Amino acid sequence: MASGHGHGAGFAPEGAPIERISHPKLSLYFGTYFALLGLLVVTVVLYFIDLSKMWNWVGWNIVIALIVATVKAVLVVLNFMNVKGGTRLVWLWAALGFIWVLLMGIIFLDYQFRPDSTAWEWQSLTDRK
Amino acid sequence: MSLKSMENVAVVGSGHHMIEQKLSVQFEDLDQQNESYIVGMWAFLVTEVMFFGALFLAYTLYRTMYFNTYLEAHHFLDVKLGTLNTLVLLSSSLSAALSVYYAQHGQRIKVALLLAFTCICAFGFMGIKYVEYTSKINEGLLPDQNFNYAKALTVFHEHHKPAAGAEENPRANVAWEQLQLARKTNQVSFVAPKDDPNTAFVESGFDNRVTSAADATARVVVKSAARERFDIEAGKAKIFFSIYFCMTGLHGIHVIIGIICMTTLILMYLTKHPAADDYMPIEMVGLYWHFVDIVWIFLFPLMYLIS
Amino acid sequence: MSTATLKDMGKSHDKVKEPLNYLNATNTIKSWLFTVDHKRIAIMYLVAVSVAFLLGGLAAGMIRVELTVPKGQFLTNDAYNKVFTAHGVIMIFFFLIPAVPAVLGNFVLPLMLGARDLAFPRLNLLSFYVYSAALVMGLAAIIGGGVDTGWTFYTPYSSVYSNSNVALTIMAAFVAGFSSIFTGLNFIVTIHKMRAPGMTWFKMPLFAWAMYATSVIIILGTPVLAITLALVVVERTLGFGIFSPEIGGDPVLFQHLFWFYSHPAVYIMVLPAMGVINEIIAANSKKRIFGYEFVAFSTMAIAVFGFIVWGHHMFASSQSMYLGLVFSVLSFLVAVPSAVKIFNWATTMYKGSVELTSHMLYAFGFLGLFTIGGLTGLYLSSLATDIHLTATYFVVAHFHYVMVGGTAMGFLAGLHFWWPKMTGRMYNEIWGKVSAVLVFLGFNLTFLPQFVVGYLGMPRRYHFYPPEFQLWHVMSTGGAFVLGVGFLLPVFYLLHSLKYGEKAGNNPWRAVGLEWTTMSPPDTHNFHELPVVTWEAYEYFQESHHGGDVGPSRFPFDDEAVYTSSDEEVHV
Repeated sequence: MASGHGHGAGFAPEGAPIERISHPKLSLYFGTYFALLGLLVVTVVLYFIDLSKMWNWVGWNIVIALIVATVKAVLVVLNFMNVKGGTRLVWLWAALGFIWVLLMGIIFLDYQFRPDSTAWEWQSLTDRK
Repeated sequence: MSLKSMENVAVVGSGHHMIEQKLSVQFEDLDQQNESYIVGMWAFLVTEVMFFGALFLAYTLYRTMYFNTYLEAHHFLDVKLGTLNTLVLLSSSLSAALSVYYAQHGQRIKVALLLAFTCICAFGFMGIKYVEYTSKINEGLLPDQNFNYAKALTVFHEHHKPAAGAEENPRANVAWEQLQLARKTNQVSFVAPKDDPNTAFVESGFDNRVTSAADATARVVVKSAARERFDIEAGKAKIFFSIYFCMTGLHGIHVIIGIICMTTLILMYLTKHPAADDYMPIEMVGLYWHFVDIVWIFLFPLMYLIS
Repeated sequence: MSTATLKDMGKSHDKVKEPLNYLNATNTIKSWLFTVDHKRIAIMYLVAVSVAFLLGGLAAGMIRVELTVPKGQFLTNDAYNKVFTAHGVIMIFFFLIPAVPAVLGNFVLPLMLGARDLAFPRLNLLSFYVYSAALVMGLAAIIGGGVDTGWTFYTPYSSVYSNSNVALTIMAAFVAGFSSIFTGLNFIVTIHKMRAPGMTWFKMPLFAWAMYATSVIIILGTPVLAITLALVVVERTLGFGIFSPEIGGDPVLFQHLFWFYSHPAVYIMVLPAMGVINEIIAANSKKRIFGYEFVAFSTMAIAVFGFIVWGHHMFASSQSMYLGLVFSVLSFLVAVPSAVKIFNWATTMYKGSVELTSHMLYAFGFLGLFTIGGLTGLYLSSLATDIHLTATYFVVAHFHYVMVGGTAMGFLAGLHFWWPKMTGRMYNEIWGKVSAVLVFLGFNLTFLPQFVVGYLGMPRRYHFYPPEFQLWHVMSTGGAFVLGVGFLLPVFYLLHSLKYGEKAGNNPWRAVGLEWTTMSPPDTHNFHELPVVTWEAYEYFQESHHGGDVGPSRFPFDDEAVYTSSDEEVHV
């Protein structure tokens, strides 16, 4: 542990492998672009198909739409933003924000477990009079 | 500790175009400097992720609470324009990535052209957004004091009489049904303080201030049941449009900042500014621009494609 | 220079040759305003933060004067609301959050890591100006009309009903957030990439660990507050509705988002102070920090745990009580890494040669006050007692023990510890001790009675109270003035030392740390040759794992310049 991370001090100890940021080829960029376009088509087509009729759950559309969006985002992050060829440090910081946003999801537990069930089917104050 | 930087100058150049990076005084070598910039930019993007993350959270919360309202209100957004904007932004992202690639290889003309293309796409995006915003504002859907859901619904249903998406789900028409019911039964009545000169104005029907704070405190308002239910629906719709305008507006501000940065870079390249020798500024702006793209990748299905 | 003894240097004022350092390298105002030197920026931050602290203290004084009589007669209701809001806003956004990182961290961190500067010096300067702009905005809002929402800006009062300068104040907090984001970002990259050869993560001083944890919290938390406050401004000025219950919005969502940042912000304030205390305890006990790894990991643990306990601010809101239960348990867990630190500091001092310098007295003050603050926090994190104590003076006393007893004491301790390095001069040690004792006594006299009166039922933010509480309030006000004197004293003797203080050598406290190997005040680029670290952090002696001495430290203690400026000299 004491010898530290490879990417740590600006100058690695003698003999330690220096992680370099590598630069990808042009074809990767174009490939990513066309993949993104394909996924865009999937997203839009999905909108006009009601998946809840095929599989008996209303959430399918949004779940699949979000999966597609996540795949798109991952493609952009890895290929366009060069995280794929980046050092471990870059990977760490690229991932951190997205992980931490999920942590905020704890807020949903509050709304899920409020004893007042109107939290989900909210009624405004005027409605309660 | 001797400087190791000598061997690292122009390490990234390949082919016949070599580029030179300047080493700032606080760094030891170019590898350290470059990775510092990239990690710094990513740390900044983490803040951006959290920035938008809080908005996405508010969006998701209200979507779960008021799904029907969301479903109904999202019909006001134009899927065609949204798709077009996604296409524009994805293309600009490709050209931004390519400009970084050519900057690393020292091909300045290509960099300037690609950046210009990215900029044009960004302007196109903002132009389409402008068209969308103006139509929303004209329909009375800007969620400020003048938010007028009744007017917007009326106009919408006149234009989209057999609207396919709206008819499929019977629950998707709550607001519209309540509105018609309220109009039909004409039971809208207001009891105002005796000396209130606005009584006549308020009784004329669906004025702008369906849900303003002043109404609740200034005078006692008695509404028909249908009108009350409609007002609740309008309030929820106002939340949807507030979130829509906040998220797309914040995203739009980011696009404008991107345009400013890219224009500066283009000028630097055209005037052969010494800082343009380094590809790092372009890489930074590129990272930023891809992030703007990612936000839109999530915004598009969440806002325009609710089903 | 090299031939003159230190004593001579202190006495002869005319025509003394001083080595070129960051203070005398250039003298124009422009060279200060446009400097990118982290040390000069730290000094400018010190001035700005001190101004904010004095203004916030002035507001505190007004609150205490108002509360001496049960039916406050000095301020109107409205004015009282505005004064306590001003106190909270100024102290939290403009003093507590930037104080230690932006002043001490900015100055010391690159020196500690053996770097010439932070990774992004211009961003650092921008951070200072953004902070200054925010301070001006905040003061403009407070002086030109005031704000009466309390520093928490709870909706819907802030977004709809309040008739005060809410929007401008919120914008000030928003802008100040960017200043701390820039600082945090700079620190993160600096710690990752700019450490001197040989300085691995586990050879870093614990202050650097504290700065890293703080910066991570800043990066992850501050944007959430920024966007939440921006939404309130949009709601207030444009009439949008997101948190408005009138149209079906949920004000508790505002509280969730607000505390998602503002609870971790407590750790933004106190972790850097804890970092300072590490340095001081080690330097004044002449021992390695006991359980270095545990203290380092507890710092990171606090940063992570800090993000999952925000709900304990909302036990009395409509938050689900089941979630409240979870937040309560998690809040108790935060006590574990905090206690690890306290015990490890105590164990560090055990059998150490403890020197009672003035900064060590401040550090003792920190230990006592922070422990009380932390333990009373447990009362507030248990659901049942919290229902009784919510929004009473018990809460006020609790967070003042943590914030003033923790952060402000840590800041003053660090300022005294590094003052010789910052200015090259020694301050008057006796006055330093008097100040530390006054602050400690005055603080306890101010806030211990508030625990009692709060438990008896005195609500916070009220200035009318039953006459039977008056005794406690009078004690508190009396203590506040002792505290005020204690805080004002350093202003005088520290400024006095600038001109008349004895010259400090490179390492007046004989402490281990790279910052003590360079001259005082340091050269513009800190080190003439970049140092290579061969010693462990806090290596006062080489120790075996069981604590026994193995050999002398490898750290260069010699007061003779190790990396001093040799050739350049200027007339002063």
